[in-house]
Amino acid sequence: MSIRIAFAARALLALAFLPLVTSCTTSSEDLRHRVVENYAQIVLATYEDAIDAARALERAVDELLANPSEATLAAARERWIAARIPYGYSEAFRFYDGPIDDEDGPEPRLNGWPLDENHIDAVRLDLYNAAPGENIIGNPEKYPDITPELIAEQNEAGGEKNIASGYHAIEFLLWGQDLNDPPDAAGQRPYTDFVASGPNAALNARRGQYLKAATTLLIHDLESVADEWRDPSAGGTNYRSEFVGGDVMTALERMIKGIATLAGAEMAGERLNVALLSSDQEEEQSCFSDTTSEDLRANAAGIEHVYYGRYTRSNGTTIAGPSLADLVKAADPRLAEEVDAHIARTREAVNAVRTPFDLEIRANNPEGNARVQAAIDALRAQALVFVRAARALGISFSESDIEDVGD
Amino acid sequence: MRTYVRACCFLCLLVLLASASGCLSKASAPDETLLVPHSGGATTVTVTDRHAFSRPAANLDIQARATFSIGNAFFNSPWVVAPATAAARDGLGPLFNARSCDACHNNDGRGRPPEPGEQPISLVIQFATAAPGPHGEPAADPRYGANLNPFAVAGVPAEGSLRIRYREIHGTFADGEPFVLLAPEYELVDLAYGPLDASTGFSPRAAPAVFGVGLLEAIPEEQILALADPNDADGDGISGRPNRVWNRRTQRVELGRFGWKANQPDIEHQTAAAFSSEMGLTTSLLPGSICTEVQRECLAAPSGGDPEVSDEIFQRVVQYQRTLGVPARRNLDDPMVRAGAKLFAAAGCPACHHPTFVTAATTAEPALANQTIHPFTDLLLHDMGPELADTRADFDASPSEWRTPPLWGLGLQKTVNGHTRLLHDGRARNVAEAILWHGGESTRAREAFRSMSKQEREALLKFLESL
Repeated sequence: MSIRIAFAARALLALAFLPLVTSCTTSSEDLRHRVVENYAQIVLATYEDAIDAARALERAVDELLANPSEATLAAARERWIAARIPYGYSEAFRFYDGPIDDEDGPEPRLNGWPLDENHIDAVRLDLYNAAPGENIIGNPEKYPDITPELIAEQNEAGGEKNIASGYHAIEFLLWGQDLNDPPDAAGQRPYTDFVASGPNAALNARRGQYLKAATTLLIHDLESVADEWRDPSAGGTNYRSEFVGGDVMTALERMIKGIATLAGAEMAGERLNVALLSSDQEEEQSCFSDTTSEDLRANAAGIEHVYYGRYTRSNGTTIAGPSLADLVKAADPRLAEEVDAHIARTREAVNAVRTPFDLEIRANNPEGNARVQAAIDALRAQALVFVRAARALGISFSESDIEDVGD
Repeated sequence: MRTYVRACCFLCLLVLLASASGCLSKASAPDETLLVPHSGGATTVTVTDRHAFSRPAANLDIQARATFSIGNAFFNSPWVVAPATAAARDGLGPLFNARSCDACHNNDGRGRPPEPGEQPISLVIQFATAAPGPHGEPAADPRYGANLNPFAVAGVPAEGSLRIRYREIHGTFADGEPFVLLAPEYELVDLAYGPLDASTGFSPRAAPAVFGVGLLEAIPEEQILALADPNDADGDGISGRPNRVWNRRTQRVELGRFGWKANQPDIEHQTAAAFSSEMGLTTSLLPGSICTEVQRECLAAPSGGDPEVSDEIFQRVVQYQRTLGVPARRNLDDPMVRAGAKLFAAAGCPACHHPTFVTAATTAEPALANQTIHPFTDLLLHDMGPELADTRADFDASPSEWRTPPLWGLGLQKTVNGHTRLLHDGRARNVAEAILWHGGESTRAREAFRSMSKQEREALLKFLESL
């Protein structure tokens, strides 16, 4: 921690001389480098917090499986909700082909949606009884051992996107399907689904194995991303060493592209506008737990961490250093104020969206719809102001560069 | 059937006569219409990474961009088995080829045949019996429907698997350099619902790229028909026939523009057909089930709604494709590219790969109106010879006739899709092989390529890579 404090002090010193150093190429170059380095610290800390929270979830899952009860199920659900928060922050590090979502990145396995529920577990046999036991949990002949490897293989099997892993698979196993209409509650899976004795002992045991294996895989995938952001071992290279040691403008471009795309195309577009206009109450990413509003707030906070170069970790310590905000302020103080205003407005609008999210997007809830629409408008405007901020820093990209989430 | 054969032989004769007269070179300076950087007019995007086909048109306004991103969400995300919590997105199958549009049109680009041991995803085997339907459309196999579905939801038998063997065809360029082409041979195995109808033939079709289709849809019909020369009145050896296809909305016969046979009148029809026969999802335009009468488990499986793809979602997926931008050209100052443009013209390629159109003054999406575009297609049917033909007629298209595919984006395919497979079944492993497969009325152009020096061939390929 002392290193970071010293680092922050140096950054403050640099800031004090900002008006002087901007005229000097090497010094401003140096400041840009420290902005990038501070970003890399925040990225790593965020993934480490996501890993810690996922480990806490894993312990709660172990407890649930060892001793299934209302209380242990509720505790596991709480840990899942808590684990989503740092992961939500980390989505601000997406959309530039970094370790999380380059071609081989684990993002689809961590956060894929919508989930192929029927492929994982039996659902609503009253509606569909053609194939009881044809899913992974229900078919021990075809899938004898439910392991992290099996789940990884079944996710996007054969180049296909049948989502069977990640946060939403765990969410589905903890909550069950949410087919409530009207949507006044989340999924209602009973804890007895995990009791490995009695009439459904074998099936319930396999459901527990799936839950455990999916959690293990999740931690493994988060670790693989965090490794790319750690200081590489002596002489080694990884994404971090290339990011921090490479062209500084490229790194800055990625930082802004990530937050602008998350705000615009992903949050305003795919997550909110799609939900609002699709006229379906479960058109929400965390549809089993109905916690999509919390996902949104974590995403918006993650954007702020990147822009202001400041992140308070789960353990209470704070990483702070030179930031994009400092660079924009030096380049165009008036624009920097505009960005601040947009970020504040977005925070307010996103905070106003209520939980459960599926009630907010119902057609007969004009107030909820208006709150979601206000968040869309604020996020979209925020994305556009980030594009202008990028231009102020000498990074040229257009609106269309950030209005596509990858493929 | 016989008339096609006769027409084909007649054309071959014409081609022979034409090539004997040796009228290949025309221009001495490159035609600048072959070297315009903005292939899609104001929609053109300047992206050269794997998202090059996935950007919204550069001139879309903010509202249209919002619609685009919604369509993008539904184009990319998988559809799931019903009943699912995400009810807007359920109803997959029960029989299917892919779970998402993006699985076949990966990154909005082009599909490929399966590798050995892999089931085909972005290559579909379509079925047609000998007797066409009431409007001249191919008639589905009574047991297996419109195409082979190698996947199914749990509890429903998948239709079967595909085995492809490649026969090597050896040839040489005029300068003596050898080449090898791969001719595919298909075999259906593990058929789950008994034999195909005795008269059913099958036709492989690789998924085409989807960017730029809005601009092709916006080309005024007169401009396309003006290029048609069904009886080769101008004697250049190139005919060019419009396909006339059934429009289910207007209940009329109209110009076909999309698909390998120009067998779909617009993006809506093309999209509904793909939802229906490849993903098992019903739409208002094609509300029928994918299951045939003998597929009992399929018929018993639950539906994802009626229709499974709501009209709102359907329209947004259509609009998404319509408003994808076209990538800009690259390396246009390279002398090789400029030399290649001359060779492209001299070989007669632009006769079918028509470089320039101007889109209509009024279009449903204003960003697509009044654009000078360079797709390098005439959207017409041409006889490509018996080597590429199968047994399937499609409305007015004979088995050997194919729509000229657009060439824009060709040089980015490897970056976007990781492969360079081309032609309707992906048999060509690269651009040179695709040219060497040209037959029928394009024989003369192929021979021009085959006769070029190595340096000239490289220049021509450089030009095509700049697209």
